[in-house]
Amino acid sequence: MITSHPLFRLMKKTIDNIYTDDLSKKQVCIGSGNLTTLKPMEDGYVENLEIAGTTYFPEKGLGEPIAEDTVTLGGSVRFYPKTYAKQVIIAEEALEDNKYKEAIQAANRLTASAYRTQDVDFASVLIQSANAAYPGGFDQLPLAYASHTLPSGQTYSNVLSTYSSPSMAALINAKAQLGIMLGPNGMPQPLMPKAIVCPLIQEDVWRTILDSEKVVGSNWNDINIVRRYKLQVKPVYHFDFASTSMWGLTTDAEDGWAAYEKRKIDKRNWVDNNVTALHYAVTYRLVYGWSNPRIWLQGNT
Amino acid sequence: MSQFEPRKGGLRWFKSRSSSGVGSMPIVRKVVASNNTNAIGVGSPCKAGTDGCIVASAAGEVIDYVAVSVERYRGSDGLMRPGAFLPAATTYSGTTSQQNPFASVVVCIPVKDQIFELDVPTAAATQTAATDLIGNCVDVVVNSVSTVTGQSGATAGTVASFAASTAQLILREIPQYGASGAINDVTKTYWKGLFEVYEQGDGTTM
Repeated sequence: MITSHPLFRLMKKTIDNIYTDDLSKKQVCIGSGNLTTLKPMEDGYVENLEIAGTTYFPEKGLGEPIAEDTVTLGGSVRFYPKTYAKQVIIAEEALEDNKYKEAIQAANRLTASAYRTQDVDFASVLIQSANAAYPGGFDQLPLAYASHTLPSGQTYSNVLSTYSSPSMAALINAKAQLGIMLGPNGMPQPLMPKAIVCPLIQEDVWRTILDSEKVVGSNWNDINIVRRYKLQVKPVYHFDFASTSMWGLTTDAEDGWAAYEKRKIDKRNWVDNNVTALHYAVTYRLVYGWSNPRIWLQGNT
Repeated sequence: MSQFEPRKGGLRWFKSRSSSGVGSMPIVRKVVASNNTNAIGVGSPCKAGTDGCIVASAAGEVIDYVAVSVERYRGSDGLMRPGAFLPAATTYSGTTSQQNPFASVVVCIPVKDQIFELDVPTAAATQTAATDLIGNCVDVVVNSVSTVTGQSGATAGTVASFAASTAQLILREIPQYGASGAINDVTKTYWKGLFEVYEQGDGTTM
């Protein structure tokens, strides 16, 4: 509880400027133009299912019957929203005594923290992408995994065949690997890379690789082929605290990220008259994860 | 891989164990012993004496209260003032009662049935290893109170010091802060645990 006493210095107007936390709603993972957007949840949970369809055609001899094929239901993944909440309790006396409106700002601080938590929470999905303790998706395996299972039991990989530092060669390999990505039925279903997702410290390394017209080769005459991929670079500063070497590519695969919001960030306040204290609270309900791991190709950890 | 853990010192009220929805934590005012020698900051563990006054709990001593703020104390200039913390060696003369205008008075939370969040300064090997600590006891590492902010520097003991035998606190839960374990990652230093005070006093010791 915030009481008057620690705010002793705020009881009289003697301070000129107050520096405090960034109270903006800025996010780098969630929101338009970032990694994903939050989709509303109509029901109490969301369930996505993978289905494998028919495969290659065999030759049919004269008079022979047509070979049969079928569809196979694969794994499904359910997303249940969790509620996240925090409150600040302020004694009414503290509000009465405080002379600086920017000092407490409980609702604004909680809201900013909520946006920040939402953001770092989605970043966590990628930070833990190769961690076996955090499975998910249709096959209930880690996001980045060398043996994702298909409905038929076949496997495919969405990790770079050799983890690499940022380089043109790494992107060429990654694009080629995405080009032979297997669909649910086990047939190649080529995907295209859309963006490089990396720690902030890698951003300029990637821009150097992507933005020059020519590359070091025969007298700088080689074309910079990866520039034609038209990849966006999306730095996520949350990664920097976990790993400065990790990076990956988002792809144009459908039903990839799961980011479902049951309750938007919601502010509320109430008075506990018995103790003459005000409660400011912020809550939200959402769930993060992924359905289709093909949305991600891990380049390095 | 994970985030680093933002640190906050001291014991931080998280919830009541036996009641939900009440909203506010229990708050009482306690007079500090007239011969107090240790600083009491926001989140400092305190123990009660037979005469109702309190002092800071040292490692291994019983905990009866957790300090929230200081309603008043007598500064070295002789003036009474409120504050975020009670400085060390804040002695006063007269009786140890709220009627004494010079007595130091601390606002605090009685610990019975309350759950507090506290940082654990060393990393657990795995989530499983951390979960295994639930139900084990550990003493508080008191650390010093910041003389700038008044924040207690108290943390739990190291992961290695958790044991089945009795100690000041018992780990009840490891709070989940996000969808995956990158926030409040127990394999990082200063992960957060939810503790209950295990060794409470009966007011007969000081």
